[in-house]
Amino acid sequence: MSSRAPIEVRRESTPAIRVRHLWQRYGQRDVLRDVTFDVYPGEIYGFIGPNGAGKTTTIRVMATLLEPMSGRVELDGVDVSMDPERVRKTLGYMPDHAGVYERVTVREFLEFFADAHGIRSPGVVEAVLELTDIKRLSSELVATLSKGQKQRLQLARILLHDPKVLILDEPASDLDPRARIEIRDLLLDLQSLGKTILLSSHILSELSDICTSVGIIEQGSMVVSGPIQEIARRFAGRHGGRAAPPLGTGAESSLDGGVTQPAAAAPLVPELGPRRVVRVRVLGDLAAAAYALHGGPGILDVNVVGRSLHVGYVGGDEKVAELARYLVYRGFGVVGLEHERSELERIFLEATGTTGRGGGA
Amino acid sequence: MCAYLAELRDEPNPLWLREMRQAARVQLTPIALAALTILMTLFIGGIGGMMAAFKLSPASIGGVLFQTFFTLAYFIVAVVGPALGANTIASEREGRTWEVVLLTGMRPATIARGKFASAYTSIAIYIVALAPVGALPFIFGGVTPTEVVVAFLVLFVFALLSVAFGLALSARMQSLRGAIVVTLLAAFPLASGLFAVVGPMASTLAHRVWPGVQEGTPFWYPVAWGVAPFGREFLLFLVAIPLAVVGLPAWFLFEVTLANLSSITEDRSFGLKRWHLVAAPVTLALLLVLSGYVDSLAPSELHALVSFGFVAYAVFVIYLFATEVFGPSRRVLVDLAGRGFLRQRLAPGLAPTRRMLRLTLTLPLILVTLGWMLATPSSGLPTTRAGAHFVPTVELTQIALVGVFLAAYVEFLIGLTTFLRVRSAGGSGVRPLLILALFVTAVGPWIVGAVAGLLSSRSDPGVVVAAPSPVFLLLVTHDALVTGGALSSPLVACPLVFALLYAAGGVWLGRRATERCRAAIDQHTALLADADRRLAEEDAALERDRATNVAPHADMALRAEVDAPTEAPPSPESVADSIADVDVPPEA
Ligand SMILES: Nc1ncnc2c1ncn2[C@@H]1O[C@H](COP(=O)(O)OP(=O)(O)OP(=O)(O)O)[C@@H](O)[C@H]1O
Ligand SMILES: [Mg+2]
Repeated sequence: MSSRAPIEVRRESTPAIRVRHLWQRYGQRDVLRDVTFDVYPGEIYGFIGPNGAGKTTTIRVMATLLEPMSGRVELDGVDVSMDPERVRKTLGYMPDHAGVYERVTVREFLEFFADAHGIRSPGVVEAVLELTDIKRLSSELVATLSKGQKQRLQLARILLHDPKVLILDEPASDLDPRARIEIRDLLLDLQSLGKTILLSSHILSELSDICTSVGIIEQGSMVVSGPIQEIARRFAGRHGGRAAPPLGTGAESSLDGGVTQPAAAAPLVPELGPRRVVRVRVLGDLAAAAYALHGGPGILDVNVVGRSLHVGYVGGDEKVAELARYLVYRGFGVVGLEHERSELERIFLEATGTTGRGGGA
Repeated sequence: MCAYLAELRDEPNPLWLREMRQAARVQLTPIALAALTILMTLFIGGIGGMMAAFKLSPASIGGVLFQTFFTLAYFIVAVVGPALGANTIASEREGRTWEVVLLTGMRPATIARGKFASAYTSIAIYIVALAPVGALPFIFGGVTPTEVVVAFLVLFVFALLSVAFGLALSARMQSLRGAIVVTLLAAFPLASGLFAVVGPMASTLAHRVWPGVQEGTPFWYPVAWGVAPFGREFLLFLVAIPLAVVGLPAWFLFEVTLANLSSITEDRSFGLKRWHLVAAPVTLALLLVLSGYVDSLAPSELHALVSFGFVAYAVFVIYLFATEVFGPSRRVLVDLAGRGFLRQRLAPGLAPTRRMLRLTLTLPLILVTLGWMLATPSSGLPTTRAGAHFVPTVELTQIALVGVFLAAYVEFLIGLTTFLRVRSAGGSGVRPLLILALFVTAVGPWIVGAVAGLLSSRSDPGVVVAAPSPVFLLLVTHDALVTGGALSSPLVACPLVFALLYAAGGVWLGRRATERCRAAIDQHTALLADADRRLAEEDAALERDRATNVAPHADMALRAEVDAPTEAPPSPESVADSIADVDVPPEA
């Protein structure tokens, strides 16, 4: 659902983060089982999983804080268990619920970490204060900051040594919506500065707007990992078959079985992809509007649900625009259009649905 | 040294700087300091007034006030120092800032120094605040300026140890409250013991050298500075020995702190091994020197004193290294390549550690015994003491017996510990079992004998049940030898038999353990090599895909789902897992 300019992800280069066959056991329990995924330079990678799935454990291995039982993790080509010192130089890690020193000012806090990193140039603290937009707070005591401001301060801290890779464990977990949006925008800024970002969450909406790739982990196993678009295509190949028989990939149709929506016999342009649903709120006669849309090109089905129409269609955002234009042309007042689910939510449901495991923790 | 000071001035430790800034923001500190000073002044003044009311001479009042003040100050430092030290690292752990500090790439040594400096600065401020009160005894006289200055120096040095003690303990603890409670529980008895037992004992010795030093006073050291004439003994007892007695523990605590701050894949035992290589000869030298100042003991008794003293140190060191790792981690192996001879010898691992302990603990005991036997006249007139006759051959036999037994006993403890370590996965049970073994061998036989009613008389043959205990030689065998017991008599032969059993058992257990350990390391290395090979194959496959122009990621996207986790990795009895927790033993 990105309306932004496509970011440049150099997928053919060496991955910025490589996690390979990672196993971790606590007592008799395998907390991580063969976790494998790559994050490429320039990506924002969403690491999604329910509580207790093993996100923090994986992240702590990446951050050189936990020795894995087996498997290997490389950051920027360096094995984290072999050379943690070098990894620490390229990594900015924000733990979940990180603490701060309360009785120092924002500037002192950052100066301390700059000193600890051995950064000599004096402008760095100013620069990160500027970048994270907390300059006006610089002489406030850290104790007096709000949660959102503290989170910004943490981000400022991990930027001090100009790391290539940022790993954020649930960065938005206790933030209000406004602070979340601000953090999100900040992350996008950082991505445009060329940082690779991995952030974990169990809240999809937190990730859906900014991630370029996702990995879904459940009970210690990776369910799926890769760029959102690619995964979406894969799932479309498996499940979209009924609505839009894919060209030349008929083999996957054997995996069908979960979709209950009746398929319309509309003519299809198969390369347009999977069935999507858009919710359309219109003024006036809903039934008439539904009738008007029914059977249109690319429209699969139209249902009246409550005060809005649920329109199943294939195609991209142009199809939605076309649909809106058509309704307006036919004299219906369109007051709202929204996707039933974000792409990420669909992926998540499909991925976790097919594994047969429960999604909850 | 100057360069180091200059560095301190130009680039203060960031941790210290920050803690000082934080401390400066607490309004309570000056108030607490003022309150402490006032309380102490009132207390000391009150005692002085009371004594004056009893018409004591001002000089003796001054002396008593001096002792009172420094005793109080000693206990304040003994409590506040460890608490401040414990506070530093544990508060970062509890405040969830610790990992973040670690990830800045600061070396554990830098962190330890910064933390030490901040805690030490705080306690130094306390001591300085007390300084005016410490000068009060001057008003009454009877105390020289040297004494007061030296006493304050002692206080500063003691503060160093007490802060380091708290730091070393807190480096392991996760919670702040736990760290402070444990530290105080350990520090207070330790400080009281030093004050009530070690201090007076040392004063007895000092009194013998310089009669001007009062016998039985714990705080005799500053007084000795006033009365002792400069000379060999001054340098030995007032400079060299105090330096060793303070320096070794301080260094030890620093190394323990570093070990506890380092990650499990680092070589955590090297620092402590280096310390031991210095501490062992110094301890031995100290025992030998002190034995030279104990008169009225026969040669065999002096030998026993030195040997048992060294065995006490040996037990401490064996306990210290009881949780040594099986072998070096991948990372340490890479790091070790190309290092010097000594560094390679002191590599982490059970086998090298066992070798080091045998060379530095068992061997010195044998050498000391041989030397002692050479130095003891084998012929000549029998000496007498307290009615008993010491025949030189009896002395020589006794020295040899004690030396053989103790060397065998230490060898047994080394072998047993190595064996226990190999048997326990995480190394957690080794130390309790070691203590249990010590108890069973040293004290157990006596309890059994007492319960069976066999100890009523030392000449009772039933007393041999206690022969496994090292003190049997002192309490029973010696008497038996003196009263003409031959080597074949049970009271002499039994300890010898047990010595041989201990030696054989120790060697056998140690051998078995190191063999098992080697097998475990080989297995682990094979697994690592296998993992390496598989990862390399995967890389090669990926490279091929790339060459045939398939987007690698597209292929990988559902990988995890398609290949269900294939096989579980080996059980975690790996080298990395068995890296030891080196920690401070509860009772040093
Ligand atoms: N030190 C530990 N000892 C024992 N079990 C642990 C330890 N650390 C984590 N676990 C277990 O490992 C599992 C994974 O934990 P982890 O913190 O990685 O999950 P998470 O995905 O980060 O969850 P959340 O969303 O709640 O943060 C949990 O079931 C947890 O109980
Ligand atoms: Mg977590």
